[in-house]
Amino acid sequence: MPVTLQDVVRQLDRDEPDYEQAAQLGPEVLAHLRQLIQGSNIGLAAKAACLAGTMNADESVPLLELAARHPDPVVRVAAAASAKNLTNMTTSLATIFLDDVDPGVRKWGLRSLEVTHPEGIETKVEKIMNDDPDSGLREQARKVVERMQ
Amino acid sequence: MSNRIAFNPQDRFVVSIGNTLIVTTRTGDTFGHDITGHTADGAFHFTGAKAAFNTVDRFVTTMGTKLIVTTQNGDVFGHEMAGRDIGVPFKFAGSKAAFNAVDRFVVTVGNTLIVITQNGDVFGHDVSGHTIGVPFKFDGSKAAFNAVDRFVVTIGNKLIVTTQNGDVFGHDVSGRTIGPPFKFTGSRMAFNPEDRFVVTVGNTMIVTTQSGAAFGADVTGRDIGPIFRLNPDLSIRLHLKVWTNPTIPIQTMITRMQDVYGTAGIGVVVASRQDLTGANIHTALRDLDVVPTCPAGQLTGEQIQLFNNRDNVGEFDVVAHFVRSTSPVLNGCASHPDNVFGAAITQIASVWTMAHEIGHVLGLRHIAGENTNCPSSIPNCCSTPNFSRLMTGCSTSNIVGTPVFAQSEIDTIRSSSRTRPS
Ligand SMILES: [Zn+2]
Repeated sequence: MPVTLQDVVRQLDRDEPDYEQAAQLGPEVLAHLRQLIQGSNIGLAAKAACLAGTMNADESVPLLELAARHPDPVVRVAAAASAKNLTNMTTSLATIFLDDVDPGVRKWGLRSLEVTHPEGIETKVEKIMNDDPDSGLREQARKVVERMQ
Repeated sequence: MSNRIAFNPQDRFVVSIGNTLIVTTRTGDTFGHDITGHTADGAFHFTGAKAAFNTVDRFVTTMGTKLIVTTQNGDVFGHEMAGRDIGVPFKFAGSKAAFNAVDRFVVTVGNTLIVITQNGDVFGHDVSGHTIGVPFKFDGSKAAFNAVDRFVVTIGNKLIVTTQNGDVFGHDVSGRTIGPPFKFTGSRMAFNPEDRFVVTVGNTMIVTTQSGAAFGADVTGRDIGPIFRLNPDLSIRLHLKVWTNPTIPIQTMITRMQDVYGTAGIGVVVASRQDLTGANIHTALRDLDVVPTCPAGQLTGEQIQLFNNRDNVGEFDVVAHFVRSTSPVLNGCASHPDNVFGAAITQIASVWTMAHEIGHVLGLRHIAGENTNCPSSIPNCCSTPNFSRLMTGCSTSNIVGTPVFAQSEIDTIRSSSRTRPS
Protein backbone atom coordinates (compact mmCIF):
# COMPACT_ATOMS: atom_id res chain seq x y z
CA MET A 1 0.00 0.00 0.00
CA PRO A 2 1.38 3.42 -0.89
CA VAL A 3 2.30 5.70 1.99
CA THR A 4 -0.04 8.68 2.07
CA LEU A 5 0.53 12.13 3.48
CA GLN A 6 -2.03 11.23 6.13
CA ASP A 7 0.07 8.23 7.18
CA VAL A 8 3.04 10.52 7.71
CA VAL A 9 1.01 13.15 9.56
CA ARG A 10 -0.43 10.45 11.83
CA GLN A 11 3.11 9.54 12.84
CA LEU A 12 4.32 13.10 13.33
CA ASP A 13 1.30 14.92 14.76
CA ARG A 14 1.75 13.42 18.22
CA ASP A 15 3.02 14.88 21.43
CA GLU A 16 5.96 12.52 21.43
CA PRO A 17 6.57 11.14 17.91
CA ASP A 18 8.71 8.02 17.62
CA TYR A 19 10.98 8.86 14.70
CA GLU A 20 12.57 5.43 14.50
CA GLN A 21 9.11 3.98 14.08
CA ALA A 22 8.05 6.66 11.59
CA ALA A 23 11.13 5.88 9.49
CA GLN A 24 9.75 2.36 9.10
CA LEU A 25 7.14 3.80 6.72
CA GLY A 26 10.00 3.66 4.21
CA PRO A 27 11.46 5.93 1.52
CA GLU A 28 8.04 6.90 0.14
CA VAL A 29 7.77 9.17 3.17
CA LEU A 30 10.41 11.52 1.84
CA ALA A 31 8.18 12.91 -0.92
CA HIS A 32 5.63 14.02 1.70
CA LEU A 33 8.21 15.58 3.98
CA ARG A 34 8.94 18.34 1.47
CA GLN A 35 5.29 19.35 1.54
CA LEU A 36 5.21 19.38 5.34
CA ILE A 37 8.43 21.39 5.61
CA GLN A 38 6.89 23.98 3.29
CA GLY A 39 3.48 23.88 4.98
CA SER A 40 1.98 26.39 7.37
CA ASN A 41 2.05 24.14 10.46
CA ILE A 42 5.37 24.93 12.14
CA GLY A 43 5.20 21.91 14.44
CA LEU A 44 4.74 19.51 11.53
CA ALA A 45 7.42 21.31 9.50
CA ALA A 46 9.92 20.87 12.35
CA LYS A 47 8.91 17.24 12.86
CA ALA A 48 9.20 16.56 9.12
CA ALA A 49 12.73 18.00 9.15
CA CYS A 50 13.52 15.78 12.14
CA LEU A 51 12.26 12.70 10.33
CA ALA A 52 14.15 13.64 7.14
CA GLY A 53 17.43 13.62 9.08
CA THR A 54 16.54 10.46 10.99
CA MET A 55 15.98 8.59 7.69
CA ASN A 56 19.53 9.41 6.54
CA ALA A 57 18.65 8.89 2.86
CA ASP A 58 20.15 10.58 -0.19
CA GLU A 59 17.08 12.82 -0.37
CA SER A 60 17.54 13.84 3.25
CA VAL A 61 20.20 16.47 2.41
CA PRO A 62 18.04 18.57 0.04
CA LEU A 63 15.14 18.31 2.49
CA LEU A 64 17.33 19.57 5.33
CA GLU A 65 18.66 22.35 3.09
CA LEU A 66 15.07 23.40 2.52
CA ALA A 67 14.34 23.28 6.25
CA ALA A 68 17.61 25.08 7.01
CA ARG A 69 16.29 28.09 5.08
CA HIS A 70 12.92 28.14 6.83
CA PRO A 71 11.95 31.53 8.28
CA ASP A 72 11.06 29.96 11.66
CA PRO A 73 14.07 29.07 13.83
CA VAL A 74 12.18 26.13 15.33
CA VAL A 75 12.28 24.43 11.91
CA ARG A 76 15.92 25.40 11.32
CA VAL A 77 16.92 24.05 14.74
CA ALA A 78 15.11 20.78 13.94
CA ALA A 79 17.03 20.52 10.65
CA ALA A 80 20.39 21.21 12.29
CA ALA A 81 19.70 18.80 15.15
CA SER A 82 18.65 15.93 12.90
CA ALA A 83 21.65 16.46 10.61
CA LYS A 84 23.73 14.57 13.17
CA ASN A 85 22.14 11.41 11.75
CA LEU A 86 23.51 12.05 8.24
CA THR A 87 26.44 10.00 7.01
CA ASN A 88 26.78 12.25 3.96
CA MET A 89 26.63 15.71 5.52
CA THR A 90 27.68 18.29 2.93
CA THR A 91 29.86 21.35 3.41
CA SER A 92 27.14 23.59 2.06
CA LEU A 93 24.52 22.28 4.50
CA ALA A 94 26.89 22.55 7.47
CA THR A 95 27.78 26.08 6.36
CA ILE A 96 24.13 27.14 6.36
CA PHE A 97 23.77 25.94 9.95
CA LEU A 98 26.99 27.52 11.18
CA ASP A 99 26.13 30.85 9.51
CA ASP A 100 22.65 30.99 11.03
CA VAL A 101 21.78 34.07 13.09
CA ASP A 102 20.14 31.84 15.70
CA PRO A 103 22.48 30.38 18.34
CA GLY A 104 20.30 27.28 18.69
CA VAL A 105 20.87 26.44 15.02
CA ARG A 106 24.62 27.02 15.37
CA LYS A 107 24.68 24.83 18.50
CA TRP A 108 23.11 21.91 16.70
CA GLY A 109 25.13 22.60 13.56
CA LEU A 110 28.29 22.17 15.64
CA ARG A 111 26.88 19.08 17.31
CA SER A 112 26.39 17.47 13.89
CA LEU A 113 30.11 17.86 13.23
CA GLU A 114 31.23 16.12 16.42
CA VAL A 115 31.42 12.62 14.92
CA THR A 116 32.31 13.23 11.28
CA HIS A 117 32.60 16.40 9.27
CA PRO A 118 32.69 17.37 5.60
CA GLU A 119 35.84 18.73 3.98
CA GLY A 120 36.45 22.43 4.22
CA ILE A 121 34.24 23.23 7.24
CA GLU A 122 37.18 23.74 9.64
CA THR A 123 37.56 27.47 9.04
CA LYS A 124 33.85 28.01 9.79
CA VAL A 125 34.17 26.17 13.07
CA GLU A 126 37.32 28.10 13.96
CA LYS A 127 35.51 31.34 13.27
CA ILE A 128 32.80 30.38 15.77
CA MET A 129 35.50 29.36 18.25
CA ASN A 130 37.08 32.80 17.97
CA ASP A 131 34.24 35.19 17.23
CA ASP A 132 30.85 33.83 18.29
CA PRO A 133 29.04 36.16 20.69
CA ASP A 134 27.82 33.10 22.67
CA SER A 135 30.55 31.85 25.00
CA GLY A 136 29.00 28.39 25.21
CA LEU A 137 29.21 28.06 21.44
CA ARG A 138 32.83 29.25 21.38
CA GLU A 139 33.68 26.49 23.84
CA GLN A 140 31.67 23.91 21.92
CA ALA A 141 33.46 24.93 18.69
CA ARG A 142 36.83 24.63 20.43
CA LYS A 143 36.09 21.01 21.28
CA VAL A 144 35.03 20.30 17.70
CA VAL A 145 38.24 21.86 16.38
CA GLU A 146 40.32 19.74 18.78
CA ARG A 147 38.60 16.62 17.55
CA MET A 148 39.12 17.58 13.92
CA GLN A 149 42.88 17.89 14.38
CA MET B 1 -5.61 27.55 55.12
CA SER B 2 -8.36 25.38 53.69
CA ASN B 3 -9.71 26.21 50.29
CA ARG B 4 -13.19 25.07 51.18
CA ILE B 5 -15.62 27.91 50.66
CA ALA B 6 -18.52 28.97 52.86
CA PHE B 7 -19.00 25.67 54.65
CA ASN B 8 -19.46 27.01 58.17
CA PRO B 9 -23.01 27.18 59.49
CA GLN B 10 -22.45 30.80 60.52
CA ASP B 11 -21.58 31.83 56.94
CA ARG B 12 -24.34 34.11 55.87
CA PHE B 13 -23.78 35.92 52.56
CA VAL B 14 -21.45 35.27 49.64
CA VAL B 15 -20.73 38.05 47.15
CA SER B 16 -17.75 39.12 45.02
CA ILE B 17 -15.67 42.17 44.21
CA GLY B 18 -13.26 41.88 41.30
CA ASN B 19 -11.71 38.40 41.42
CA THR B 20 -12.35 37.95 45.12
CA LEU B 21 -15.15 35.92 46.60
CA ILE B 22 -16.35 37.39 49.88
CA VAL B 23 -17.99 35.34 52.64
CA THR B 24 -19.64 37.21 55.49
CA THR B 25 -20.54 35.49 58.74
CA ARG B 26 -23.02 35.98 61.56
CA THR B 27 -20.17 37.10 63.80
CA GLY B 28 -19.17 39.88 61.38
CA ASP B 29 -15.87 38.25 60.44
CA THR B 30 -15.41 38.35 56.72
CA PHE B 31 -13.35 35.96 54.65
CA GLY B 32 -12.11 36.10 51.08
CA HIS B 33 -10.93 33.71 48.41
CA ASP B 34 -9.03 35.02 45.42
CA ILE B 35 -10.06 33.34 42.18
CA THR B 36 -7.39 32.88 39.54
CA GLY B 37 -8.55 31.40 36.29
CA HIS B 38 -10.64 28.44 37.36
CA THR B 39 -9.17 27.98 40.82
CA ALA B 40 -10.00 29.45 44.21
CA ASP B 41 -7.20 30.06 46.68
CA GLY B 42 -7.47 29.30 50.39
CA ALA B 43 -9.46 31.64 52.60
CA PHE B 44 -8.04 34.84 54.03
CA HIS B 45 -9.51 36.94 56.81
CA PHE B 46 -10.36 40.52 55.90
CA THR B 47 -8.95 43.15 58.21
CA GLY B 48 -10.88 46.25 59.19
CA ALA B 49 -14.53 46.63 60.10
CA LYS B 50 -16.97 43.86 60.79
CA ALA B 51 -19.80 43.71 58.27
CA ALA B 52 -23.35 42.37 57.90
CA PHE B 53 -23.58 40.73 61.31
CA ASN B 54 -26.72 42.40 62.62
CA THR B 55 -29.78 40.25 62.73
CA VAL B 56 -31.71 42.96 60.89
CA ASP B 57 -29.29 42.81 57.95
CA ARG B 58 -31.24 41.24 55.15
CA PHE B 59 -29.47 41.47 51.81
CA VAL B 60 -25.82 41.94 50.91
CA THR B 61 -24.58 42.87 47.46
CA THR B 62 -21.65 44.73 45.89
CA MET B 63 -21.23 47.67 43.55
CA GLY B 64 -17.72 48.50 42.32
CA THR B 65 -15.59 48.34 45.47
CA LYS B 66 -18.55 48.85 47.80
CA LEU B 67 -20.08 46.18 49.98
CA ILE B 68 -23.75 47.11 50.39
CA VAL B 69 -25.91 45.87 53.27
CA THR B 70 -29.65 46.50 53.36
CA THR B 71 -31.63 46.07 56.55
CA GLN B 72 -35.15 44.98 57.32
CA ASN B 73 -36.33 48.58 57.74
CA GLY B 74 -34.80 49.71 54.45
CA ASP B 75 -31.71 51.44 55.75
CA VAL B 76 -28.76 50.87 53.48
CA PHE B 77 -25.18 50.71 54.77
CA GLY B 78 -21.94 50.48 52.88
CA HIS B 79 -18.28 49.62 53.34
CA GLU B 80 -15.53 50.62 50.95
CA MET B 81 -13.35 47.57 50.32
CA ALA B 82 -9.66 48.22 49.69
CA GLY B 83 -7.67 45.09 48.92
CA ARG B 84 -8.08 42.84 51.95
CA ASP B 85 -9.40 45.56 54.21
CA ILE B 86 -13.00 46.51 54.96
CA GLY B 87 -13.69 50.19 55.45
CA VAL B 88 -15.74 51.59 58.32
CA PRO B 89 -19.49 51.38 57.74
CA PHE B 90 -21.35 54.38 56.40
CA LYS B 91 -25.03 54.92 55.97
CA PHE B 92 -26.28 55.75 52.51
CA ALA B 93 -28.28 58.95 52.21
CA GLY B 94 -31.41 59.13 50.08
CA SER B 95 -34.09 56.53 49.72
CA LYS B 96 -34.62 53.43 51.75
CA ALA B 97 -34.50 50.17 49.78
CA ALA B 98 -35.72 46.56 49.95
CA PHE B 99 -37.77 46.87 53.11
CA ASN B 100 -40.98 45.28 51.89
CA ALA B 101 -41.77 41.82 53.12
CA VAL B 102 -42.32 40.71 49.52
CA ASP B 103 -38.81 41.77 48.43
CA ARG B 104 -37.01 38.59 47.58
CA PHE B 105 -33.72 39.19 45.74
CA VAL B 106 -31.33 42.15 45.68
CA VAL B 107 -28.60 42.43 43.04
CA THR B 108 -26.74 45.16 41.16
CA VAL B 109 -26.27 45.99 37.49
CA GLY B 110 -23.81 48.82 36.95
CA ASN B 111 -24.74 51.56 39.41
CA THR B 112 -28.29 50.36 39.85
CA LEU B 113 -29.46 48.49 42.92
CA ILE B 114 -32.17 46.08 41.79
CA VAL B 115 -34.89 44.67 44.03
CA ILE B 116 -37.03 41.79 42.81
CA THR B 117 -40.26 40.98 44.59
CA GLN B 118 -42.07 37.71 45.09
CA ASN B 119 -44.50 38.47 42.31
CA GLY B 120 -41.70 39.28 39.85
CA ASP B 121 -41.89 43.06 39.87
CA VAL B 122 -38.46 44.62 39.50
CA PHE B 123 -37.55 47.92 41.12
CA GLY B 124 -34.38 49.94 40.81
CA HIS B 125 -32.45 52.62 42.66
CA ASP B 126 -29.62 54.44 40.95
CA VAL B 127 -26.75 54.80 43.37
CA SER B 128 -24.38 57.74 43.11
CA GLY B 129 -21.60 58.03 45.65
CA HIS B 130 -23.14 57.38 49.04
CA THR B 131 -26.69 58.22 48.01
CA ILE B 132 -29.51 55.86 47.06
CA GLY B 133 -31.76 57.29 44.35
CA VAL B 134 -35.54 57.23 44.47
CA PRO B 135 -37.07 53.89 43.52
CA PHE B 136 -38.37 53.30 40.02
CA LYS B 137 -40.15 50.33 38.56
CA PHE B 138 -38.60 48.58 35.58
CA ASP B 139 -40.69 48.20 32.42
CA GLY B 140 -40.81 44.98 30.49
CA SER B 141 -40.84 41.46 31.83
CA LYS B 142 -41.32 40.26 35.32
CA ALA B 143 -38.44 38.19 36.68
CA ALA B 144 -37.79 35.39 39.15
CA PHE B 145 -41.35 35.06 40.39
CA ASN B 146 -41.67 31.30 40.19
CA ALA B 147 -41.58 29.35 43.41
CA VAL B 148 -38.84 27.16 41.92
CA ASP B 149 -36.58 30.16 41.27
CA ARG B 150 -33.83 29.79 43.78
CA PHE B 151 -30.92 32.14 43.12
CA VAL B 152 -30.55 35.42 41.22
CA VAL B 153 -27.17 36.83 40.23
CA THR B 154 -25.91 39.18 37.52
CA ILE B 155 -23.17 39.17 34.91
CA GLY B 156 -22.78 42.46 33.04
CA ASN B 157 -26.30 43.59 32.26
CA LYS B 158 -27.82 40.11 32.51
CA LEU B 159 -30.07 39.01 35.34
CA ILE B 160 -29.51 35.29 35.80
CA VAL B 161 -32.14 33.17 37.53
CA THR B 162 -31.37 29.62 38.60
CA THR B 163 -34.21 27.24 39.32
CA GLN B 164 -34.42 24.25 41.63
CA ASN B 165 -33.99 21.78 38.78
CA GLY B 166 -30.87 23.57 37.49
CA ASP B 167 -32.41 25.35 34.54
CA VAL B 168 -30.94 28.80 34.14
CA PHE B 169 -32.88 31.73 32.69
CA GLY B 170 -31.73 35.20 31.81
CA HIS B 171 -33.09 38.69 31.21
CA ASP B 172 -31.11 41.44 29.53
CA VAL B 173 -31.43 44.68 31.47
CA SER B 174 -31.23 47.76 29.29
CA GLY B 175 -31.88 51.14 30.82
CA ARG B 176 -35.04 50.77 32.87
CA THR B 177 -36.40 47.79 30.98
CA ILE B 178 -36.18 44.10 31.79
CA GLY B 179 -35.92 42.06 28.61
CA PRO B 180 -37.98 38.94 27.97
CA PRO B 181 -36.73 35.77 29.63
CA PHE B 182 -34.47 33.41 27.72
CA LYS B 183 -33.15 30.04 28.70
CA PHE B 184 -29.39 29.50 28.80
CA THR B 185 -28.01 26.60 26.82
CA GLY B 186 -25.26 24.41 28.22
CA SER B 187 -24.72 23.24 31.78
CA ARG B 188 -27.45 23.20 34.41
CA MET B 189 -26.45 24.93 37.62
CA ALA B 190 -27.15 24.72 41.35
CA PHE B 191 -29.75 21.95 41.29
CA ASN B 192 -28.40 19.94 44.19
CA PRO B 193 -30.12 20.39 47.54
CA GLU B 194 -26.74 20.92 49.22
CA ASP B 195 -25.97 23.90 46.96
CA ARG B 196 -25.91 26.88 49.24
CA PHE B 197 -24.76 30.08 47.54
CA VAL B 198 -24.55 31.23 43.93
CA VAL B 199 -22.27 34.13 43.04
CA THR B 200 -20.51 35.46 39.96
CA VAL B 201 -16.89 36.46 39.51
CA GLY B 202 -16.25 38.03 36.13
CA ASN B 203 -18.02 35.82 33.61
CA THR B 204 -17.88 32.78 35.86
CA MET B 205 -20.92 31.56 37.73
CA ILE B 206 -19.98 29.89 41.00
CA VAL B 207 -22.01 27.50 43.14
CA THR B 208 -20.86 26.72 46.67
CA THR B 209 -22.11 23.73 48.59
CA GLN B 210 -22.68 22.96 52.24
CA SER B 211 -19.50 20.87 52.35
CA GLY B 212 -17.42 23.80 51.09
CA ALA B 213 -16.83 22.30 47.66
CA ALA B 214 -17.43 24.94 45.00
CA PHE B 215 -18.06 24.60 41.30
CA GLY B 216 -17.89 27.06 38.47
CA ALA B 217 -18.91 27.47 34.86
CA ASP B 218 -18.01 30.22 32.42
CA VAL B 219 -20.93 32.10 30.90
CA THR B 220 -20.48 33.14 27.29
CA GLY B 221 -23.40 35.02 25.76
CA ARG B 222 -26.41 32.81 26.45
CA ASP B 223 -24.46 29.64 27.05
CA ILE B 224 -23.12 28.11 30.24
CA GLY B 225 -19.85 26.24 29.75
CA PRO B 226 -18.76 22.97 31.33
CA ILE B 227 -18.75 22.80 35.11
CA PHE B 228 -15.39 22.65 36.83
CA ARG B 229 -14.38 22.17 40.43
CA LEU B 230 -13.26 25.56 41.72
CA ASN B 231 -11.53 24.32 44.88
CA PRO B 232 -10.35 20.76 44.44
CA ASP B 233 -9.41 18.82 47.55
CA LEU B 234 -6.02 17.89 46.10
CA SER B 235 -3.70 20.06 44.11
CA ILE B 236 -0.54 20.10 42.09
CA ARG B 237 1.93 22.84 42.96
CA LEU B 238 3.29 23.82 39.59
CA HIS B 239 6.41 25.90 38.94
CA LEU B 240 6.81 27.50 35.54
CA LYS B 241 10.28 28.05 34.14
CA VAL B 242 9.95 30.00 30.93
CA TRP B 243 12.94 29.69 28.58
CA THR B 244 10.73 30.57 25.60
CA ASN B 245 7.13 31.62 25.37
CA PRO B 246 5.19 28.89 23.56
CA THR B 247 2.90 29.67 20.64
CA ILE B 248 -0.16 28.86 22.78
CA PRO B 249 -0.15 31.18 25.80
CA ILE B 250 0.95 29.46 29.01
CA GLN B 251 -2.13 30.76 30.81
CA THR B 252 -4.34 28.97 28.26
CA MET B 253 -2.47 25.72 28.90
CA ILE B 254 -2.88 26.20 32.66
CA THR B 255 -6.61 26.84 32.37
CA ARG B 256 -7.06 23.74 30.21
CA MET B 257 -5.01 21.74 32.66
CA GLN B 258 -7.19 23.01 35.51
CA ASP B 259 -10.28 22.00 33.56
CA VAL B 260 -9.19 18.43 32.98
CA TYR B 261 -7.52 17.84 36.37
CA GLY B 262 -10.53 19.45 38.02
CA THR B 263 -12.57 16.49 36.80
CA ALA B 264 -10.34 14.36 39.06
CA GLY B 265 -10.76 16.75 42.00
CA ILE B 266 -7.20 18.00 41.53
CA GLY B 267 -6.36 21.67 41.37
CA VAL B 268 -3.40 23.21 39.62
CA VAL B 269 -1.76 25.97 41.61
CA VAL B 270 0.99 28.04 40.03
CA ALA B 271 3.51 28.23 42.85
CA SER B 272 6.11 30.27 40.97
CA ARG B 273 6.96 31.55 37.55
CA GLN B 274 10.50 32.28 36.51
CA ASP B 275 11.40 34.18 33.36
CA LEU B 276 14.54 32.69 31.81
CA THR B 277 14.08 34.21 28.36
CA GLY B 278 16.76 36.87 28.86
CA ALA B 279 19.80 37.07 26.60
CA ASN B 280 22.23 36.20 29.38
CA ILE B 281 20.60 32.90 30.16
CA HIS B 282 22.03 29.58 28.97
CA THR B 283 20.72 29.67 25.40
CA ALA B 284 21.96 26.10 24.96
CA LEU B 285 19.14 24.63 27.01
CA ARG B 286 16.45 26.41 25.02
CA ASP B 287 16.82 23.80 22.27
CA LEU B 288 17.11 20.76 24.43
CA ASP B 289 18.80 17.46 23.73
CA VAL B 290 16.49 14.69 24.98
CA VAL B 291 16.55 10.91 24.94
CA PRO B 292 14.27 9.89 22.02
CA THR B 293 10.69 8.96 23.07
CA CYS B 294 11.50 10.16 26.62
CA PRO B 295 11.73 6.88 28.54
CA ALA B 296 11.22 7.38 32.28
CA GLY B 297 14.39 8.13 34.17
CA GLN B 298 16.67 8.30 31.10
CA LEU B 299 18.13 11.76 30.66
CA THR B 300 20.75 13.54 28.58
CA GLY B 301 23.27 15.82 30.23
CA GLU B 302 21.21 18.78 29.04
CA GLN B 303 18.02 17.45 30.61
CA ILE B 304 19.86 17.02 33.92
CA GLN B 305 21.20 20.57 33.61
CA LEU B 306 17.71 21.87 32.82
CA PHE B 307 16.15 20.33 35.93
CA ASN B 308 19.05 21.54 38.05
CA ASN B 309 17.53 25.01 37.64
CA ARG B 310 15.41 24.26 40.62
CA ASP B 311 15.15 27.44 42.67
CA ASN B 312 11.76 27.41 44.39
CA VAL B 313 10.73 23.90 43.40
CA GLY B 314 9.89 22.00 46.58
CA GLU B 315 10.21 18.31 47.21
CA PHE B 316 6.64 17.43 46.23
CA ASP B 317 6.20 20.06 43.56
CA VAL B 318 6.09 19.74 39.78
CA VAL B 319 8.07 21.92 37.38
CA ALA B 320 7.24 22.73 33.75
CA HIS B 321 10.20 23.97 31.72
CA PHE B 322 9.00 25.84 28.63
CA VAL B 323 11.83 25.31 26.17
CA ARG B 324 11.81 26.31 22.51
CA SER B 325 12.41 22.86 21.07
CA THR B 326 13.74 19.43 21.76
CA SER B 327 15.84 17.14 19.63
CA PRO B 328 14.25 14.93 18.49
CA VAL B 329 11.31 17.25 17.91
CA LEU B 330 8.55 16.71 20.49
CA ASN B 331 5.66 18.75 21.89
CA GLY B 332 6.87 17.82 25.33
CA CYS B 333 8.96 15.32 27.23
CA ALA B 334 8.09 13.98 30.68
CA SER B 335 11.48 12.53 31.60
CA HIS B 336 12.83 14.02 34.79
CA PRO B 337 15.47 13.24 37.42
CA ASP B 338 14.41 11.10 40.39
CA ASN B 339 14.48 14.05 42.75
CA VAL B 340 12.70 16.68 40.64
CA PHE B 341 9.33 15.92 39.12
CA GLY B 342 8.56 17.77 35.92
CA ALA B 343 8.49 17.96 32.16
CA ALA B 344 9.79 20.01 29.27
CA ILE B 345 7.15 21.64 27.08
CA THR B 346 8.11 23.04 23.68
CA GLN B 347 6.99 26.05 21.68
CA ILE B 348 4.92 23.86 19.33
CA ALA B 349 2.91 22.30 22.20
CA SER B 350 -0.86 21.94 21.85
CA VAL B 351 -3.22 23.46 24.43
CA TRP B 352 -3.32 20.05 26.13
CA THR B 353 0.38 19.10 25.93
CA MET B 354 1.29 20.41 29.38
CA ALA B 355 -1.63 18.59 31.00
CA HIS B 356 -0.67 15.44 29.07
CA GLU B 357 3.03 15.55 29.98
CA ILE B 358 2.27 16.15 33.62
CA GLY B 359 -0.09 13.19 33.39
CA HIS B 360 3.01 11.15 32.50
CA VAL B 361 4.88 12.77 35.39
CA LEU B 362 2.10 11.64 37.74
CA GLY B 363 2.42 8.07 36.52
CA LEU B 364 0.03 7.83 33.57
CA ARG B 365 0.88 6.03 30.35
CA HIS B 366 -0.74 6.37 26.95
CA ILE B 367 -4.16 4.78 26.82
CA ALA B 368 -4.63 1.33 25.31
CA GLY B 369 -6.74 0.57 22.28
CA GLU B 370 -5.41 3.14 19.84
CA ASN B 371 -3.24 0.75 17.86
CA THR B 372 -5.52 -1.92 16.46
CA ASN B 373 -4.20 -4.26 13.76
CA CYS B 374 -1.01 -2.30 13.27
CA PRO B 375 1.73 -3.72 11.05
CA SER B 376 4.58 -5.28 13.03
CA SER B 377 7.04 -2.63 11.80
CA ILE B 378 4.80 0.16 13.17
CA PRO B 379 3.28 -1.16 16.39
CA ASN B 380 1.93 2.24 17.44
CA CYS B 381 0.20 3.16 14.20
CA CYS B 382 -2.73 5.06 15.77
CA SER B 383 -5.27 3.26 13.59
CA THR B 384 -7.99 3.73 16.24
CA PRO B 385 -7.16 6.94 18.13
CA ASN B 386 -9.31 8.19 20.98
CA PHE B 387 -9.26 11.97 21.08
CA SER B 388 -11.64 12.17 24.01
CA ARG B 389 -8.80 11.16 26.33
CA LEU B 390 -6.01 13.36 27.66
CA MET B 391 -3.54 10.49 27.60
CA THR B 392 -4.01 9.71 23.92
CA GLY B 393 -0.72 8.70 22.34
CA CYS B 394 -1.99 9.94 18.98
CA SER B 395 -1.89 13.75 19.36
CA THR B 396 -3.54 15.94 21.93
CA SER B 397 -3.85 18.58 19.19
CA ASN B 398 -6.82 16.60 17.86
CA ILE B 399 -8.71 16.71 21.15
CA VAL B 400 -12.07 18.47 20.89
CA GLY B 401 -13.74 19.75 24.06
CA THR B 402 -12.38 18.82 27.47
CA PRO B 403 -10.81 15.35 27.48
CA VAL B 404 -11.48 12.87 30.25
CA PHE B 405 -9.58 10.62 32.60
CA ALA B 406 -10.63 7.02 33.17
CA GLN B 407 -11.35 6.13 36.80
CA SER B 408 -8.14 4.08 36.93
CA GLU B 409 -6.21 7.13 35.77
CA ILE B 410 -7.90 9.29 38.41
CA ASP B 411 -6.92 6.73 41.05
CA THR B 412 -3.31 6.81 39.84
CA ILE B 413 -2.88 10.57 39.82
CA ARG B 414 -4.77 11.10 43.08
CA SER B 415 -2.43 8.65 44.77
CA SER B 416 0.68 10.35 43.37
CA SER B 417 2.96 12.01 45.89
CA ARG B 418 2.66 15.13 43.71
CA THR B 419 -1.06 15.63 44.30
CA ARG B 420 -1.35 16.99 47.81
CA PRO B 421 -4.22 18.08 50.02
CA SER B 422 -5.18 21.63 49.08
ZN1 LIG C 1 2.54 11.14 25.93
